[in-house]
Amino acid sequence: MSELHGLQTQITEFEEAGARVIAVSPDPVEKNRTVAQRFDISYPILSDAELELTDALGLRHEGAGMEDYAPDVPRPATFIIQDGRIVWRDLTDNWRVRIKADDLLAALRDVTGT
Amino acid sequence: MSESGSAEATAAPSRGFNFLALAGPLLAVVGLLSYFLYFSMWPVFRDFPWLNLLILAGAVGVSLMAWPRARSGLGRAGAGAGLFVSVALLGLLCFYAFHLSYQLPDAGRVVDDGTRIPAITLASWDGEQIDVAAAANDKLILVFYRGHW
Repeated sequence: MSELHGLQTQITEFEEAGARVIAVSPDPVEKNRTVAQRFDISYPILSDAELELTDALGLRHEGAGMEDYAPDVPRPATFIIQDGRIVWRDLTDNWRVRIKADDLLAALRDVTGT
Repeated sequence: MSESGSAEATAAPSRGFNFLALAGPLLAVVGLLSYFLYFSMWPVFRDFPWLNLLILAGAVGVSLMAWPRARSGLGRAGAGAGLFVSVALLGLLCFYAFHLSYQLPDAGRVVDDGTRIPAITLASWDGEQIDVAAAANDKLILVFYRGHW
């Protein structure tokens, strides 16, 4: 089960906790559409191909991309945002390991008091 | 009868093809590729690749078992090459999982808690244009995903 699919399985719980889920990927819109359809994703996956949002948050990982045309990608990162500001983050120290939806939901309830 | 049986047993390895010498590296290839093609889809197999490490360790074991069965010079060369491939692929997965995976930029470069989400509008997979700052007025989970899993 992929990271995005894991979030999808708990999307109702996130919504009940009052939170919206948005993913950001460095891939073009078409590729994100393929991923969304493959894993039955209902929430947005934004295409940050120019790494505009990635750079605004200091997330660029140089040289980690697989394709020649996109050598840089964001580091895996998950944020909880409230009232427009970052209130919690998970920056994994191992890019194979991403936060589980269960743990993220617990953090959301803890941080936002829902 | 027992005499002929034991003669058969000791003679058997020198005859025919030493399948274990080929089975070891083949199992090692399966052990490495199946991580990326299949098992990495589930966190239980992905986060610590225990199953693939076990398969690769098994491949090294099979290659080691092939060694004493090799009698001729060519057989020893084949068994040796098989063992080399098995050990090399096990080493490759270890390098990937325990070294490469930790290569990330300094976390200090990431903006601090309390930072306001900038007004940047990006397109979603269904064509919807979303201003992240506007979406961040509610509670928002923002996940940076860079592919594969």
